[in-house]
Amino acid sequence: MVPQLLFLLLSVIALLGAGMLLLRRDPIDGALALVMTMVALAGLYLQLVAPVIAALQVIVYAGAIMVLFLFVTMFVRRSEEHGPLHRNRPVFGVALLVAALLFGLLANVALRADLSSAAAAGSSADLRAIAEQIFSADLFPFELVSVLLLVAMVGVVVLARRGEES
Amino acid sequence: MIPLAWYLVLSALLFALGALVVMTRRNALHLFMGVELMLNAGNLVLLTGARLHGGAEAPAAMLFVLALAGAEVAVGLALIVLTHRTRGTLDVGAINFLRG
Amino acid sequence: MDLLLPLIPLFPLGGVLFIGFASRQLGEDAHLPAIVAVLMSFLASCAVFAKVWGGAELSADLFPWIVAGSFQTSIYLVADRLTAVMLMVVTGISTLIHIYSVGYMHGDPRYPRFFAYLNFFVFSMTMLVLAGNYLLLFVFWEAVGLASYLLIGFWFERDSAANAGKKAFIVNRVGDFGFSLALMLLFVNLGTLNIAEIGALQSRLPLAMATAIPLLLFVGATGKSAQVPLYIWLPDAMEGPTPVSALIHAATMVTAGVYMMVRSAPLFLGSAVAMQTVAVIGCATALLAATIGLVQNDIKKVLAYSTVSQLGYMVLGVGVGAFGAAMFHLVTHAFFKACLFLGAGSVIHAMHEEQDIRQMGGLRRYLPQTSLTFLVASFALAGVPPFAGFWSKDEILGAALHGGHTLLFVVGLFTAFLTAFYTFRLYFLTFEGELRARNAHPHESPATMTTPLLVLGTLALIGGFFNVPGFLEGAHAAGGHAELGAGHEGGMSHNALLLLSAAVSLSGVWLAHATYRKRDGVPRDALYERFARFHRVLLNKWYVDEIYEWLVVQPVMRGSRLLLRVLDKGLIDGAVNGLARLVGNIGGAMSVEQSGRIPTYILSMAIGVVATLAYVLVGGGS
Repeated sequence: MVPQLLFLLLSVIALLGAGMLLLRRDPIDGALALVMTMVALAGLYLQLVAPVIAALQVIVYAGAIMVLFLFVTMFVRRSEEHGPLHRNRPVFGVALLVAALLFGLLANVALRADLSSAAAAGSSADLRAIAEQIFSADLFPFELVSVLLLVAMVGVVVLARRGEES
Repeated sequence: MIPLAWYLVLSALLFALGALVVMTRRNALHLFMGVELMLNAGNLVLLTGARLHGGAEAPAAMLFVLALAGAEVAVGLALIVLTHRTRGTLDVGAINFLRG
Repeated sequence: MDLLLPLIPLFPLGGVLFIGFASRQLGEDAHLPAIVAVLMSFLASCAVFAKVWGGAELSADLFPWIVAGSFQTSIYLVADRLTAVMLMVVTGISTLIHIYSVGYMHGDPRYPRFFAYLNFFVFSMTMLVLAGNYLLLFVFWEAVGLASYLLIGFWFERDSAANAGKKAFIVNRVGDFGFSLALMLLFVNLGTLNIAEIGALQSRLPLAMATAIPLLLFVGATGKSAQVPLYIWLPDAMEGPTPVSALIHAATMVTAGVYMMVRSAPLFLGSAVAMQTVAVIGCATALLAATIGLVQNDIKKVLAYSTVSQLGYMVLGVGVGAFGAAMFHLVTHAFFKACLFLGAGSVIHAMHEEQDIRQMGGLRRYLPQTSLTFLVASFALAGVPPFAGFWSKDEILGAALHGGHTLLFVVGLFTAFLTAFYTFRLYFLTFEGELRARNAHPHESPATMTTPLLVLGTLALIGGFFNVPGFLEGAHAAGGHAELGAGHEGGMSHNALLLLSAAVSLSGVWLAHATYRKRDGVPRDALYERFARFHRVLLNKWYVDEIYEWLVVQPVMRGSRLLLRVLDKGLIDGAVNGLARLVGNIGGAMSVEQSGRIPTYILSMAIGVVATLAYVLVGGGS
């Protein structure tokens, strides 16, 4: 019973964060809400027996990426005067409908999927296994990602310099 | 034991909410956070799959998603700062660089 | 591997690059690196000559050039006696002409460029001569063509010069087409383009190929060496600066065709039909060009037609199997024709760009050195013993007679008479009598110009005593001479032939003397008044250019215009423009949707995603 309750609790927290992101006007609130969601998700990962990923989720996502968000948000905040949602009601309605359809379709898949082998598989996603996966089978994508990060870094520097000039 | 379908449904819900954020919010920062939310929903599916089948493929893929998200956010936020500096606003409704 | 060989072309190549990059800094000193480069090249050629003296053969396989499946070829240079003779001529005369150009081109605004082009020509020509396989030879065959094109059109501000350059290039394309076909056939049939290997494998060619390949090679030679019917570019090429006419369009490049045929001797010897064709064409060219040369009034044009005619002799020599004699005539011709052209350049220089010999006369008093060397070279060209041209021309005619080609021999002898006549018509009109142009103050050219003249004049005097055929006999032209020896009985004796030949030449000189050696006024063209109608035909060069215009140029132009109007403007442009308009219209329609508003984009994207998902999961789902 305890795991189920824990799941529900974490789910509610995650959804709450998502809802706040959707509804709160201030992006600072949104960013903090997103941190909340991500920490909750990390908890769910622990439940799925993926401690390494859970740790990374907290460190990289909640820690690094969202802090960057917060930082930038504070940097550019003062001009945010417009409303949180589209004032254009029909557009909002369409968006809501699309989102609902999206959820419906995905949930449909989730519920129809055959998840019977769940009991059989234990989690083997410990650090060693992940490392072996990355540095053997996934070595090429790994290198690609490293190049991508380098390119992104250079791109960011270029963009920042361009801002300086103007 | 928690049915794995629960995780998937939660992930679908988070994904839809993220999409809704992207579709409805006008602040570019919100857009990006919505995208992050969708990515996280996707990660949750990946880990559920890992739980289902075992093996290290899905966690490895998740790590890649993490790295990609980092790269995306770095460039995206740089663009946001630049846009803010040159346009004075982050309202995506008002930003129309792409207008032909 | 002999590293001496690549040095020969590398010096002038270095010269091209150096002058090209430093032309601004060099300015009026641009001739220094050029002359040094060519001189070094000449010295290297001398060293090669000394090495092959004993009959040795040098080669240098520098590096692989093209490797594609079964086909592979490398930058492969070879030098035997034939190569060495050619190299000596090319680099030696180039050196003299480089020196001459210092005086002749003085003050030209594109002075450095001229020397860069000249060096480029020497580079290409030496590579052509050294090439050990046909592909390499072909590439530099084209490269000398390029050098020729650039130098003919050197004064491209003049329309006539630019057009002459184009004409040379286009006419040569026709010949090169035949040449490239020959190379393809050779490769398909023998699987190699190595010249020596092909010579050894010649007997394996099927009969049709054994005939077609030398004929196609000869088509290439008719373009480069200005034979009937492709000779028409060479007279026009005189639009280039005179040193260029001397070097490229008389002494060296135009003889590349003859050289190539001598190199390919085994192929030509394999086909009697091809040999016969070559001999007839060569003889016809010699005669035709000589008749035109009789009436030209432009000093350079006379020499140009004379060059065509002499090239005809060389080709005739190849055609009757006297490869050594052909090369001999090539060498002596290079000496005396270069001397004549340079002399003409000196005259033109002295007369302030006047080229019409009717305006000249009596220049002997003003230009003593020029006129002396010009006289010597004229004797050589006319074939008067003991000057150079006599011996080599006689070798060819003798080979024609002994080979049983009596008609060709007679025509050749008659041409020799014509040659002697027009040569001395030129000499007497230019240097003897009284100066006819008013306001002309001729003056002797500077030493940079007269020194090469004296050297070349000396060579024209003694060049006939170089035993070129004998030298080549051991190495290359053995087949030709064996044939010549076999047909010896039945013909007249060698001494009788020499006498006959000398008599013919001297009578030509005498006739010119009788007609044109007048002390006063313009010499009347007495001879031509008698044959007025024939004279007009000759003056119009047998209307060959007009025939080409009517037969080739006009139809091509008309056809091109038709294609332009119907195919290009109608079909292709129509299709392209129509397509562009269609795309433009679609784009216009689509641009309504491209509002630039990001929310709209996101929303439509999301709708698209959901629709796709719905189709996959529900609609089209299995």
